[in-house]
Amino acid sequence: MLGLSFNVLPGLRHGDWRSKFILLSQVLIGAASLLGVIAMITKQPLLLLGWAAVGQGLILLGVACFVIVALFSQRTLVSENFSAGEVIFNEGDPGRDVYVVKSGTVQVLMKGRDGAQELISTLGPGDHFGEMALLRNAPRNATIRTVTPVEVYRMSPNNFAALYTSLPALREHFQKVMESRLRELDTRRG
Amino acid sequence: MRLTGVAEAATTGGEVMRWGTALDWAITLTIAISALILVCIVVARVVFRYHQTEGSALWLHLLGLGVLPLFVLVTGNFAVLEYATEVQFCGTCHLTMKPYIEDLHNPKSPSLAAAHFQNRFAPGAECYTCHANYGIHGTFAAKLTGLRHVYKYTTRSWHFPLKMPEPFENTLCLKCHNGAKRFMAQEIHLEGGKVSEELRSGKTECVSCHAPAHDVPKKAGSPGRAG
Repeated sequence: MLGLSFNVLPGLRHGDWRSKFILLSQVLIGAASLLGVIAMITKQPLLLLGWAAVGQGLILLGVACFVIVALFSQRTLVSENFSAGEVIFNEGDPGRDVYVVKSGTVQVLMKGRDGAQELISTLGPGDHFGEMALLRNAPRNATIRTVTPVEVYRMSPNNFAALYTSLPALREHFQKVMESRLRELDTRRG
Repeated sequence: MRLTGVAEAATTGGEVMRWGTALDWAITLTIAISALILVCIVVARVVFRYHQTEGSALWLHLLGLGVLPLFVLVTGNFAVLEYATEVQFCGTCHLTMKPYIEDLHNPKSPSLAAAHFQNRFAPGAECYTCHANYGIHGTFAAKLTGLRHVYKYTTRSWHFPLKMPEPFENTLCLKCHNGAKRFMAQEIHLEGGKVSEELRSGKTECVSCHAPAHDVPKKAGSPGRAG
């Protein structure tokens, strides 16, 4: 339900909101721990009560920040299953999630000049779709329909963006794919 | 010479005979866990400088920002609550409590507090033991009162002579003395073999016969009602 595990996390850099939450959590819990050490060593009543009143609040806030990051991090890749013949999304739909096919086959369909759907390509395990809408900030430009039962990994826009910005090889790959698909699209539209 | 030594020993509150009380453990564990949290944070910042939300870093964060802080909340709370029951904790508000602490240590003091302290009836926790009522309600009320005292002390909003907000209840004495051999041997305390109704209802206060509760200068507190 919560996706895979910590190991599927993208290599987020320090600009990401999760890194900032972790930093905030570290500052809050670090300050409370320092106060706790000083209060327990000196046994000063005001420090002890300060720790009990403020320090505990800081710790709880820090733990909450970490829990938020952990929960959202685990949702980096969400596994979804579709039966044969289902539509994952329609052309023109809004949507910014990116999908990677784990198993099964999907068809990429696009409306022709006569309004009928034409088969553009067929994607299998390891292929991905959905990144065009995100990278071009546009509605979906094709309909994705399953041919067989399919399992896909859905990635949120933030996570994809983090991957895209921090992994040059991945960025290069997606740029090539996008150029190729845009060229194909232009050819089709004449 | 020997008698002087005995008197001194009786009024110092007793030396620590052995490390290992629950409070000792709680304080040590709180310090150790807090230090471990700080180490985890520093290691995470240094080793995973630009990868704070990657796999291995998150496991370290799970320890330093998730699990250990929850442990420190438990041990720290216990340490603070337990330490707050000790005489030395009450004595740190020295501007107000100094006369009371001096009375506890005075071998010539006729007060009940000194007798209890010097006979080690509640070693190290005499203030709390006498002034906190029965059960969890009593503990909770004592903590609230303690917070009010800290606020008043910190903001210098207290006034001499110190007075108790309400009369000292007999039940605070009876929670220990009821059933004790020497107490039950005194017929004046009893009615049909049990604690008399007069004492139970508080119509007759224990301190009306056993005064003073504290032997302190009048400026500090009114005898029998101070605390």
